[in-house]
Amino acid sequence: MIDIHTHILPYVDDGSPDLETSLELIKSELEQGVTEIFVTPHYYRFRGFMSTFSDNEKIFANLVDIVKSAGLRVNLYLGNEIFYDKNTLRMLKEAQVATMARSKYVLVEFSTMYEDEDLCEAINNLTAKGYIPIIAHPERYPYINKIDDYKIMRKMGAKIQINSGSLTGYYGKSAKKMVNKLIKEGLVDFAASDIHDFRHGDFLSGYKAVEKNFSKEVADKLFNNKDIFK
Amino acid sequence: MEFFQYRNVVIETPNSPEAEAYRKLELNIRMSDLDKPLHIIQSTSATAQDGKTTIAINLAAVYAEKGKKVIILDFDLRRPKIQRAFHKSNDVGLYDFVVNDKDVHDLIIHDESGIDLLLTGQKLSYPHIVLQSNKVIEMVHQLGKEYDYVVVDTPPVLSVTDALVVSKFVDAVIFVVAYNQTKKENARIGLEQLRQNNANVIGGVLANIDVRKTQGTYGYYYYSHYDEKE
Amino acid sequence: MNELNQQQVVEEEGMTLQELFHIVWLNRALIFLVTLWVAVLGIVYTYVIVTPQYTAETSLIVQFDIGDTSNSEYYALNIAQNLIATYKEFVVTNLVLNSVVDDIEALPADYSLGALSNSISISTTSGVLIIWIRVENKSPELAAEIANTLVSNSIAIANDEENGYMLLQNKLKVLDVAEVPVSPSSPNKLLNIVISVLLGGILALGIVFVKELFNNKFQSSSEMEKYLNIKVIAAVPGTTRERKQVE
Repeated sequence: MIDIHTHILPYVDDGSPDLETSLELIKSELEQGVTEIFVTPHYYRFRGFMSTFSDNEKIFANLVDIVKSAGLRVNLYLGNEIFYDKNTLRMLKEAQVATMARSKYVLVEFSTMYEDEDLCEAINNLTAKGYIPIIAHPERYPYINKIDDYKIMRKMGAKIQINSGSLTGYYGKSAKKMVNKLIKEGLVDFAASDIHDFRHGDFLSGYKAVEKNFSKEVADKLFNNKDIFK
Repeated sequence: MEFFQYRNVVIETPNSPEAEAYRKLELNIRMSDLDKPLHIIQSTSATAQDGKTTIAINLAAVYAEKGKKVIILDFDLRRPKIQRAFHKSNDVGLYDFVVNDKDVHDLIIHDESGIDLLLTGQKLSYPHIVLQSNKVIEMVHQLGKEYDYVVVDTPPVLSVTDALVVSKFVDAVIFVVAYNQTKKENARIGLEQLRQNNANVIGGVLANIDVRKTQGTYGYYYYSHYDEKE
Repeated sequence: MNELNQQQVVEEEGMTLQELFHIVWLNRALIFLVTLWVAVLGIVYTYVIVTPQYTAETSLIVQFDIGDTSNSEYYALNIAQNLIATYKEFVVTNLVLNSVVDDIEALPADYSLGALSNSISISTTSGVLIIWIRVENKSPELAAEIANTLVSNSIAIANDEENGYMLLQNKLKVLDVAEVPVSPSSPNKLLNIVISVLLGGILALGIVFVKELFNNKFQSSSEMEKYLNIKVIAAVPGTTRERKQVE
C-alpha cells in the first residue's frame, strides 16, 4: 500500500523527533503492509515549521541510508505538507517547499479552525500554475461540510486526501460520517495516515474499515492509489 | 466556498449570436461619442452577480478580435474574479504596484487570447483609498495611452464606494442590469449615485438574456440558457 | 427627487396590449397548472362528492263534463283553472304527503314532510288542463314511486266517497305514469366542467396579473430605458449559472 501523508522525517516538525523514532515508525508502517511512503513534513509558518526543502533533502538522504542499512524493504519519497498562504506559490517556484517526489502534485493543508484563505482561490492559483493540489484531510475543516463543496474542489482540479484516522473515528463522529459519505459518492482520491507518532497507527484499520463498508476495490483505490506516481 | 465559472463566448464561440451581441455592444460604445473616442471603459452594476465581469471580459475579447491592444484592469479589489475568467493565478498584481512600487508593466499578464490583464495580487487593506490615489490614477491614464482600450471591472455600486471612485477617472461607464434578477429599485439608486458623481454613463446593458429568442433591442427576452455542454 | 417621481408616474401608465399578451405567454405554465387544478377540483366535486339526483315525471289531466255547467266555455275554463290551482295546493298538503310516507316502505315514518314537499315541483301552463308533477330523489326508483304514489293517493283521497273533496272529486285522471328515470337530472356534469375551467382560467389570470403588479425586476430593455432613463446600448447573454455550479 501507499501512504502519501506522513510526518516521519525527524527533527523538522511535530512528527518524529529523531531518527530512531522514524525507523520505528517506518517499521510499524511496514507491518501494516505499507511499502511506499511519502515523507511529508509540515511547512507551516504560523507554527514555526519552516524547514526548507534543501535542509529536508539532507535529512531525508540520511533517513534513506539508515532504512537501507536496516534492511527495510520500503520505498521513501520526499514531499511537504504545505500550509497554504500567499507565499506558497513563490516558494514552490523557488523550490523552498517541495512537491510530492518532484511531481506536479502538491499536498496542501488549511486551517482546521476557520476559513482564512479562500480555498477555491488557492486551488485556482495552484492549478493555474500547473500543479495538482491534494487537499489534506478536508474532513477536518469545519467550514467545509457540504458534499457540494467537495464536488466543487474536485471540479476545479484538486484531489482529496482523507486521514485513515477519520475512518476509525479518531477525529470524531462527524469526520467519520463525512468520509464515509464522501467515499460513497466517489469523492475521495487518497487515504493516508498523517502519522506523527504512535498515537494512532490506524492505516491498516482504516483500510479494513473501507474494505468492510464498501469493497476491497474501493479500499485499494484509496490506500493504494498509484496516480501519485504519474 | 465560492466557485464561479466565466464563459468568454467571443473567444470560445466567435460565430454565435451570443458573441454578436457583444460586438453590437462594442459598436454602440463607439457610436455613442464619435467626437471624443472612449478608451477607458468601466463596467459596473448596482448589485452583485448582475453580469458586469462577464461583460468586461467579452468586451475586451471583441477589441482583441479586432486586433486592438486591450487590457483588463481588475479593480474589484475585494472579490477579484478576472483571474478565474482567464484561469491565471492571482499572485502578482495591483498590490505589488501599490505596495512594492513595482513597475506595472512587469505585473501585466499577457493572456494567449491577446488580452492583457492586471490582476489584483494580494489583498489590499483600503481599496477605495488605493483607487483614489494619484499613483493609481496616473497609472491608469498611462495605460490609456499605451493601449487602444482599457476595460475596468469594478465592484457593484451599492456594496462599496469603489465603483464611484473609479468612475471619476475613466472615459465611460456602462451600467449593467440583469434580466429578471436585478431589483428595479436597486438599479435606480445605483445609477443615481453614479450620475450624482458625474460619471459619464454612456448607456445601460441588459444581461442574461437569450439572444436567440429576441427580436431586436426592444423585443422581449427570455433567460439565456447558455450551457457548459454546448 | 421630483424628476424621479415624475418618471415613475410615466412608467406606471400604459401597458400595451403586446405587453399584456407577453406576460400571459411568459406565465403560460402557471396559468395552465392553476386552470388544470381548479378543473380537477371541479371534476372531483361533480363526479365524486355531489350526489346525483334523479327526477321522475308524471302528469295528470283535468277532466270534467262541460255539461256540468250551464254556461260558456269561458266559464268552464275558469273552473278548470281553479281546479288546477286547488290541486296544486292540495297535493302538497300534509294529508296527502303523510299518506305517501305511509304507503312507501322505503320512506321512514319520520321522513320530513318539508323535505318531501321540497322535492316535488308542480307545473302547469295556462290554458292547458294538464298538470306535470316532478319528484326529485337520489334514488331513481324512489323518485318514480313517490311521484306515482303522490298522484294516485291524491286522486284517491279526493275521490273518497265519504271524505272526499267535491271540487276535485272525479275530476282528475292520470295521464303519464312516472317511469324510473334512467339518468340523473343533476348535476349537469358538462356545465360544471366548463365552469370549473373558466373559473380556473380567471383565477390563474388574476394570479398572474397580481404577480406582475408586484414584479420589481426588469423584463425588457424598453422597461429598463423607461425606468432608469438610460439608453440601453446592448442586450447580452450571461453565464446565468455562474456561481455555485456543480455537475
